[in-house]
Amino acid sequence: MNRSAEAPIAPAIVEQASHWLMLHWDGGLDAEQQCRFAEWRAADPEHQRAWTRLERLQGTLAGVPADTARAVLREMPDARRRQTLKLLGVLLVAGGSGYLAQSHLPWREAMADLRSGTGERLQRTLADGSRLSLNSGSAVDIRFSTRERRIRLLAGELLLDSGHDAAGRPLIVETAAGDIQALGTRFAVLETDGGSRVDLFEGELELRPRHAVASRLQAGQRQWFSAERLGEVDRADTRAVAWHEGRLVAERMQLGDFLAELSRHRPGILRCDPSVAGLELTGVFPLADTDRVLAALQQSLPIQVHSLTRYWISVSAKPNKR
Amino acid sequence: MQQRVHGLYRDHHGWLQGWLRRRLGDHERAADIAQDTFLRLLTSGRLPGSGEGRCYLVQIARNLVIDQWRRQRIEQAYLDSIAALPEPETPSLETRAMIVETLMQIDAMLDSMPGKVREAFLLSQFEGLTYVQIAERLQVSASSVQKYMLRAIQACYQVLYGE
Repeated sequence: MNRSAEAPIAPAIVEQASHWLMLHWDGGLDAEQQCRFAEWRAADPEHQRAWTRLERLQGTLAGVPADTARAVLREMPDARRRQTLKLLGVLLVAGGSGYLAQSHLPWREAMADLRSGTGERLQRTLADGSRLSLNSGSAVDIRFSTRERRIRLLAGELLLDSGHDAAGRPLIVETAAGDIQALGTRFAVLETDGGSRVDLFEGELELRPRHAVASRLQAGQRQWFSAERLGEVDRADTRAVAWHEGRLVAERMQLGDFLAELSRHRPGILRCDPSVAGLELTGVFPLADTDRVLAALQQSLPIQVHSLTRYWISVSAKPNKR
Repeated sequence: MQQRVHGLYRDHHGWLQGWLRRRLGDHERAADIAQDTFLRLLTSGRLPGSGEGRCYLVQIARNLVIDQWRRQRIEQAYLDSIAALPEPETPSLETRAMIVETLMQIDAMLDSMPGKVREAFLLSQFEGLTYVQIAERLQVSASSVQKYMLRAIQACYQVLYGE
């Protein structure tokens, strides 16, 4: 193959060729268009070369049977693709369950700019002076450009104290559910129940679900949202971000919820027997030593903590003495 | 060129491998990818500026991991999709390899398209819908569909011939 065949083609010509292909794909050309298309191709060898390349593209697309393409591309674990397929609806009904189950993207987390391990909490001051805290088992990508400051929450939970940006770039937290734009604020975002829960402590926020109308949030409010809808507005809860100071605050919290929260801060499995999940407790607990928290619970509640290993712990009712 | 790659290898290979191992939790795979990263660096013919070595290597390694993951997913999904076929219709190994390669390319094309453009493209190419039908489905005008398709074709072109 000679070299000139592989030289780049002027963008304007590629655009013209693309226009012709676009018309071809819409059910073919009429007689007059056929004529003009033939003229265009003959006008310049570069036109013909661009067209040959697009024919090759058509060959690539035709190289895969349509049903294979549909089946396979539907399986791809790409968050953006998942939205497309949700919109396509029909495809999902045709059996795309494997696709939706792919909400966990391990490689995205593994390759994240900043992440915290289980039981680890991180704090960073970003280039614009914003203070970012990550709760246990969280991952973010940080993308600051000349146009915007974007933080992608890939997993877990973050707390952000947004700094003042000299360049006035908007600060946006992106989750799978959509964008959260900060207007000078302190707020927390938690990935939960297939969406994002936002607690706003200061300032104002705009929540922009990917496929639903945006909503404004005022200081002191909490709202959950997914890509498709917004939940009810509730009261923001500062206790929910006590992890930031290494504490877990419970006020009449059910044991089941408490242990689910605690298990985010320690490796392994922490099981709670349903018979004791409804017990209530109140207190402030240190996250640094979850073993001690479990021991303390055993003192104050009618439960027993049984550990097979440090990584497999089950909490059940204390046996009655007869 | 060779010499500079050699220098980068000497200074950063161990570090890169450690970085990958911490993230992937797999010693062997980390070693493979670290090796591939330098191979990619050699064949790309592009070198990082001074002081940017690690950042650049991490970028390549990250792309390799993501590519591997994508390939695995595509291969698996493809094998699943043909698993139900009766024996005589099962594609040969060569055909399979070619189809997986092509699916990788199409996936990269889809990846580079904005949301609506991708939807229009999928509906046109793999669902066989006309532009009028696509316009109805996406609730946009027919001329918007034309614009989307034009952008889709250009995105495909970039993947096949860009850079």
